[in-house]
Amino acid sequence: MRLFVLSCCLLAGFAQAQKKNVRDTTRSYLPTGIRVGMDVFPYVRQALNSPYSGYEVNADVDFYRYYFALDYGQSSFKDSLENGYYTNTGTYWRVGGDVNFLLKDPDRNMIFLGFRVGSSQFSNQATITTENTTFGRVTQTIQGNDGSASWRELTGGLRVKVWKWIWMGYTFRYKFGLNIKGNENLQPYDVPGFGRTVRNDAWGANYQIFFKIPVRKQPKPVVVKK
Amino acid sequence: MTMRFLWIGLALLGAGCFNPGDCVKNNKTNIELEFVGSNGRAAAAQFSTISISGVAQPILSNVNGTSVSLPVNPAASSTTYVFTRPALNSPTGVRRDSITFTYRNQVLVLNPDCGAILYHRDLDFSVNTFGSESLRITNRQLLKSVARNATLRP
Repeated sequence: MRLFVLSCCLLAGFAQAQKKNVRDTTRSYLPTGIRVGMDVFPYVRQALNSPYSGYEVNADVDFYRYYFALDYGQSSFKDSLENGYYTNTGTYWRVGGDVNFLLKDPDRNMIFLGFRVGSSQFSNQATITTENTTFGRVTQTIQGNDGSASWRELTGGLRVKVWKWIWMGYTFRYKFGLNIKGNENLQPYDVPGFGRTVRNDAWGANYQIFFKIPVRKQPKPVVVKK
Repeated sequence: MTMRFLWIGLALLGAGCFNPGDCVKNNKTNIELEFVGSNGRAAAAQFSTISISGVAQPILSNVNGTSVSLPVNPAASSTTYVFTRPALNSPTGVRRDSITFTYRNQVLVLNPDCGAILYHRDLDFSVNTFGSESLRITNRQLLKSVARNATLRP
């Protein structure tokens, strides 16, 4: 956690230092490249014996200060219950856009805000044991297949060019408007990509490493001498 | 000073994130059946036995009261109850009636520490030999907060 906070501060400081004394002369809506990356958090959680496992890949394309963003992930949750066992597995995607507020940076580092639409397809299963004076100890398995959910997200964060084609950054997400369909007999405890379903809103975060595949040379803003 | 209060406030807000919450379980595995007279008001009824189809022993014997609590089979979507009472005009001396209640089982996992909570919803009946107008469903959910699920005019 300390490492994460330190790297966040370094990224923020680096991005801030880059935006001085330059004028934006790069207004072109032609993309300079495709950035493809992955989220590090799922691997950290797996290393910490979390009941969650999975992966998430992220991609974005720049159109001047606007970015088209696409995320895809797979997630599974397996945990013991007080009276049984619960599993949930599925895939999810998010699509949306970001707006970069760091216009004058020569490397197109980003401080951004954005919006996403998320969707998830999943199946879950609960094996539970109930005790009843008449029927005794009853163990049953309830399955919820073909479940789906959708939600919206407000995003914000940073992207910083670390070295040549390598970028790092983090994204904070406020997820809201959860709408679950199907699975009427087993209400999902967790929706892949969204998280716990106790509330209709949730917070999330990603710490991402990107590789940028350039498609054209990135125009540099002109340095203004004062 | 202001910053100190701000940090204390943030710490208090953040503490809520680690609060596991309460396990509120309002589910129940019994149908509350009330006996009513011809005027629709609660009235005492007498049964020799009330048993569940497939279960060897009667769940209730020598019933004399205005209501009974009937356990449902949690692993099935219906449970059939057989009511017996003395009948002078019957060759066997016993009148036997049955009701099959149907319901939908729904599992909710609020928290792994709370366990999975099994709810029985959408209560209805598919068989009723007491007579067409004798059985009425008054509440379709089996919850602790619900005192009556159905009325029966025997």
